[in-house]
Formats: sequence, C-alpha cells, structure tokens
Amino acid sequence: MPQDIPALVVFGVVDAAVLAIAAVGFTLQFGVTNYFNFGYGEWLTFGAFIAMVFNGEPLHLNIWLAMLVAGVATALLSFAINRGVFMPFVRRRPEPLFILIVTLAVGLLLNNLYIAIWGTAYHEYETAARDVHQIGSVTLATDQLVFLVIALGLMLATHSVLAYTKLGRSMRAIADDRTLATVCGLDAARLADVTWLMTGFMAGVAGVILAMQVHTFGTDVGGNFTYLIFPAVIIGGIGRAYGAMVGALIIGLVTALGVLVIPAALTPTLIFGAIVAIVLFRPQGLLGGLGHGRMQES
Amino acid sequence: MSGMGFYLTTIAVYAALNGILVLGLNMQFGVTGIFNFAYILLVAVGAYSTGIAALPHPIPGGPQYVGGFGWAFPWDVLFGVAVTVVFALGLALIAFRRISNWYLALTLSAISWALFVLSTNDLGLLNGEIGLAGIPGPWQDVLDPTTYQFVFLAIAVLLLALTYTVMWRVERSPLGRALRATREDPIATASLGKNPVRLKTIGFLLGAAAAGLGGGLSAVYLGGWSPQAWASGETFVLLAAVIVGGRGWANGAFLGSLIVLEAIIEGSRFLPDPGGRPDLVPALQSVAIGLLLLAVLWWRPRGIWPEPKERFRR
Repeated sequence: MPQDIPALVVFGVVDAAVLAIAAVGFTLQFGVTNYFNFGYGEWLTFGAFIAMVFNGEPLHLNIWLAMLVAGVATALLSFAINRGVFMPFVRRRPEPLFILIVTLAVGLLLNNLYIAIWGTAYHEYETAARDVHQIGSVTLATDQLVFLVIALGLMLATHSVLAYTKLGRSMRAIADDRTLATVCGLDAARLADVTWLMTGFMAGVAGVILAMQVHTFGTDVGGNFTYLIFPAVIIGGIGRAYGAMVGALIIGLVTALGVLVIPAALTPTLIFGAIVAIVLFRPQGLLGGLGHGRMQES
Repeated sequence: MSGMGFYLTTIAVYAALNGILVLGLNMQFGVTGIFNFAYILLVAVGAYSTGIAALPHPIPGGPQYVGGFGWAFPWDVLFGVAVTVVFALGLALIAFRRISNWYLALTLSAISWALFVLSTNDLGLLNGEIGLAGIPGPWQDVLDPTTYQFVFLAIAVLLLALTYTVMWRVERSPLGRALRATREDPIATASLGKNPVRLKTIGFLLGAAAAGLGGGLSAVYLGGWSPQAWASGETFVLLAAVIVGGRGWANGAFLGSLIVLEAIIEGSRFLPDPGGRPDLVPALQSVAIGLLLLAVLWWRPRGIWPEPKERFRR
C-alpha cells in the first residue's frame, strides 16, 4: 500500500482535534481544582449518549444541535458532580488520596449507571450522507472539516478566556499558586464552578465528536479514550492548557504517522515509548513548569 | 462431588487468590503509599508469563505466543513471579525517581493501557484477543476433578498463608515502619537518612511478587488468561477492597477482599436474573461497590477495620 503522507497528517490532525478538546478540558479541571478527575472519560460518554437520545427516536434532532444539547447537559452534570460530590469530599477529607479515589469511584458509578440505562449494545447516530471534499490528494468528509472548525473554535475560545479575561487570569493564578491566589482574595469555589461548567461543555462536545469519529460506540467510548487523554496531558505538561493542545497534536500525529514505520497494531508501543521518554527526560512535560508533576519529596 | 460442593470450593479458591492479590496491592498502596493504578498490569504479567512457561511450544497453525517451555507446576508460577518482579523493577526505575504520586498514578495507568491494547492485537506475542488457553493446572492430568479441586484449594490457601505471613512480618518489622514513614512523609523520612525512592521500590516489588503469584495461580486455575481478564476496572475493584477493608495492614485488606470480592461479587450471583439483561447484575455490582467505597471514605476514612495506631514501649 503506497503511503500517502499528506493524508496521514490530515487524519492525524483530525484525531488530534477531538483529543485536544478533551485534553484541554481535563487539564483545566486539574489546574483549577488541583486534582485529577480520573472519571473524566465518563463525562465524554455522557455527552455521546445524550446526543444519541436527542438524535434518535422520537426527536430526531440534527446531530450538530444534539451536540450542543449534549455539551450543555454535560456541563450541568459536571457542575452538579462537583457541587454534590467532589466539593463536599474535598472539604471533609482534604488529603489527595481521598479525592483521587472519589473521582475514580464516581467514574465507575457513572459508567455502570450508563450500562444499567443504555445496556452494552453499540449505537450509531442518525446522520445524513455527507459530501466528500477533495483537497489535493486528501479526501475529507464534511464532518471532519466541521470537527476541525469546532476544535479550532474551542481552542481559540479557551485561549481568549485564559489570556484576555479576568476569569482566565484567575484560573491561571490559581493553577500556578493556589495558596497565594486564595490569599489574594480569589474565590476558589466560584472559580471551580465556572471551570467545571466550561470543561463539562468541552467534554460533552468532545464525546459527541469522538462517537461520530468511531461511528459505532458503546458505554466504554469515553473511558477508553482517557487513555489517549492521559498521554497527551503527560506529554504536554499537566495543568497547562497549551501543553494539552501540543500533547494532543503529538499523540494524533504519532498514531497516524506511526503506520509508516511499524504495523498499525503496534502504535500503542509508540505512545508507551513517548510516555517513558517524557518521564525519563522531561517529567514536567514539554510545556510544564517546575512544580507540576515533579517529584517534590526527594 | 455435588454441584454445590464444587461451587463452594471454587469460591474458596477465588477467595484465596483474591486475598493474595489484595495483600500485594495493600503492600504497594496501603503500606508504602504508591498510587498504583496499574496493579492489574502486574497481575497480567504474572499470569501471561506463567502461561507461556506452562504451555507447550506453539505449533504452526495453532495459537501463536512467545515461549512455550512446557514447565510443570510450581516452576511455571515461580517463573511468572520472577518475571513480574523484574518487570516491576523496570517500571520503578523509570518512574519512581522522577515523578510524584498523582502523576505516577496517571502515568502508570496510561502505560498499563498501552500495553493492554498491545496485548489485544494478534502479533504472535500472547495470542491477542483470545489470549492463552489450555494452561495445565498442578497435577491436573493425574488427579480426578474432585481431588484436583481440593488439591488446588490446599495450594491456594497455603500460598495465601505464606503471602499473609510475609506481608504481616514486613509490616511489623523496622522495614515496615520505614515504608509507612515514606507513605506519610517522604521528606521527613529522607531527612532521617532513609532513601524514599529505594523504600518505595522495595514496597512496590514486594507487592509485585504477590501480584505475580496471584496472577500466575489464577492463570493455572482458570486454565487461561486473556485481555478480558484484566480490563482496567479490575484494578479499581482490588483498590476498593483495600480501602473498604482497611488499608495499611494485612488484616484490614484481607477483610476488604472478603467483603468486596466475595460478598458483593459472588453474593450477587444469587440475585434473580433480570430477563434478557445479562449486563445488568455486573453493572449494579459495580454501582454497589462504588457507593460502598464512597460511604466508607465519608464515614470511616481509614476503612472498616482500620490499621492500628503505632504504639511505642517506653
């Protein structure tokens, strides 16, 4: 099979687009709350299934509208879980161990509630047949172009919020030095509310795009995807939104271009190798500063 | 042997094997404080390497895997334990010196996933999605099924007792105190001249040995091992057992394995089957484990049978 490098690059970028949305959401949650949400994949799954509910019987909502609904619904779920479970736990048991396990437990609970509600069958969205565009030697469906536009839009929006608004300044401040930021009068709880809404929306949208990308999806769609989100975040540097974008691009391109050098079945070894290399040579991630993820105790 | 007798001995074997696994995770997570979210990876390394040691050399046209030494029990399981410990040492050397708890959890789970996906691909390594099958049990070919069942139960209980004794003695020893000190405060430990990275590695390897043993025994008892046996949810169930029971000491962790792995998972087999939904009972099991875990963390954060406070004689 002749290897078409431009096509592979484009597919890698499309994969990276959805990964970037999800990874930026994950890393922003960490930056503001200071703990990893190990159940994050279930946020994506929630978005994918809400879109399915609105896209299927009896509403038959257009998939792009369904995506918007799913984003809003996931934002609300995200907000509710933070207010109802995570915040009370952090207040009662502030040790990191507890909240880490709580996020895992919430992920497990959500996933199994999905299974109880929707079963383990695989689903597919109702979408009209799409046009195919020929750009040079690369063939792209309209969907994939829209994914790119959505991802670019969300990345620009994230950038604008972080760089130009008071909210974004507060988010960066609290991610850099939590104690200092709260002492200076930042309302951490309110900031967390906004962050969980924002990242919930991104996760919901990412979940729908992910489900469209894989065509048929089950309740494991988001959980499996976290294992691409984690490497992207590790490579980019934890808590760094731009790092997550870079990490996503690297993972997308590595998995797409990897087939040039090794069989497709072996691409996970490339991700494995990338993680090991980062841990060995730049544990704080490509764009990470000191203090993020570095071993502080020795 | 009656069906019920067979069922009960099988449950007892599972209880012993799960006990070994939970004791290993407790050594890593409970005693040493390593957030190992990839524990099931170590179990799988033990199970796969036991399998390739026990199975005969692969024949062309049959299932393809590496190795195939045809070793009998206990050499196959011992090989599995040895490979697991070496593998764990590799992970420890890569990760422990450089990254801290949260990041370690994230990194280990990502590594575990990459290797999991690799194992599902049919590359002639471990026979892909189907996995290894037909791994012979200890003296299975010469014993009748009933005797075999009891012989295996005896082996499993004996090795559980051995694991428990080793873990308990380590916990009570000066080494155990140093491990707990690393868990509580690595900087203070380092200031007293103990090397936290080395201590973490020791705790990790001790736990890995138990993981390899439990995995190897599971592989020979089940007669096979495949990617289905080590999906990422499995680590969570073991972690839940350690936390619910009482992390940091062998008694609490073992109690947890009885509650979570035996009472909830095996107990729910007796629930009536909801018509046409075979996925419902396992899903509700996990919901129950998740709720139990949250309840324990909220009301009894150190577990149902907490680790006793250190007492010093004057």
